[in-house]
Amino acid sequence: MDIYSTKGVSFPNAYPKVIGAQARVDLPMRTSDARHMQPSAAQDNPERVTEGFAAVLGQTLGRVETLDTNSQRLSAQAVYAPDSVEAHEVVLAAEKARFALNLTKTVTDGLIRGYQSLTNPR
Amino acid sequence: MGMFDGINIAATGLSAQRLRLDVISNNIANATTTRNAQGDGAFRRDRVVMTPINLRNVWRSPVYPRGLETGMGRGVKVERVEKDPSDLRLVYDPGHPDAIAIGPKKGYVEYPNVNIVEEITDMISASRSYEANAQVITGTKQMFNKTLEIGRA
Amino acid sequence: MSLFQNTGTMRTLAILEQGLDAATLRRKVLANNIANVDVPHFKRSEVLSESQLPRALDHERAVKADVTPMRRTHAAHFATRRHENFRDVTPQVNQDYLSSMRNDGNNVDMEDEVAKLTRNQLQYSLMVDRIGGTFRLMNSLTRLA
Repeated sequence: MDIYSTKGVSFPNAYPKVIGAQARVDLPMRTSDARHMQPSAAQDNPERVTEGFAAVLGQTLGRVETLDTNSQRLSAQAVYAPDSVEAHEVVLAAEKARFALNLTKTVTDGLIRGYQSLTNPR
Repeated sequence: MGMFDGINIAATGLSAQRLRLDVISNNIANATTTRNAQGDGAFRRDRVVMTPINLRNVWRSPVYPRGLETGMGRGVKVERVEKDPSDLRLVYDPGHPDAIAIGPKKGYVEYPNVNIVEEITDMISASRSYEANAQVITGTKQMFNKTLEIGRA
Repeated sequence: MSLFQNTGTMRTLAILEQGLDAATLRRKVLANNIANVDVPHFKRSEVLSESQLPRALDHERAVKADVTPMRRTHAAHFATRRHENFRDVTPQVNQDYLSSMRNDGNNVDMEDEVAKLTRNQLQYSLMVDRIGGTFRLMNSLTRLA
């Protein structure tokens, strides 16, 4: 969500003026070399989606898997090399993995329920 | 570091203070002993020399001052138990079997250089240090249990 | 999260279970040491911290990296110095008969044993917490939406 974006909102001629904030207008910079910095859309709006949903889903699941693997590695280290790892590292990694997995399950369940409600002719 | 470092370090402190207490109690028990194990004089008081465990840098270079940094400490250890070289107490008692027979100190008996008041003070200090180290272990256990409560309920 | 035998969660659970075995044995050994603190000529025993386990776990990596196994002429000879399966590693009790702390031959250092007991207790708590947490997580994930 970008407060400066006017797509779909009925402000025909100008950007809306947000009270207390500066409305930012992008001037294109003239650069003499291809390596000089230019304002890029990705830099201005980091939440801009450039990939498809499948790719984002894959990335997210990969990150959840990384959290889980990390937590298991730390737990195993706590067993055979307890002096190489801190107690709060182990517990916090386990908590993060648990939260991520629960969130993934909830989202997946919601998606499936939505799909079922869409395809059910009742 | 490690999750048990607090306990390991406190355990070294406990051992060292208990050894110090043993040495002090030996001193007090032998406060009036006029012969020692080697047979060449009176008992001299022992004292304990303690040193941190990873004190490696015995010289410091102005050119590379952090070159021999020891990093975080690993506790204390007793390096040696040595005799206190200060003067023995002399008491004039010509009838004593251990009285000196010849020389300028003829007739004097050498008594150990143990000052009971000092020893009792040292003993109180050793016992307080022992308690403080035990308190460190208790505190570490409490912190650990609090950490485990992060994930519970 | 994988439920297969040798990867992921099942493997971590097996490692934690072996850790619990070792911790229980260590508690008994340390309690015995402490009880015998003033017995002459008593030598303390210890349970090696699970140093066999990383070598056994490393065996799997070595197998994948195709490390050359030793040729042996009899089935009872060792093929490698590592355990084939880390589940075969059992904790061992060793007696420390070389050192001597006191004049009566006893080498039990009370503070050391109590510190080891505390460490063992904390490690046990952490492992129990992890195992319980893993099972709770798996149960909550397998519930129907």
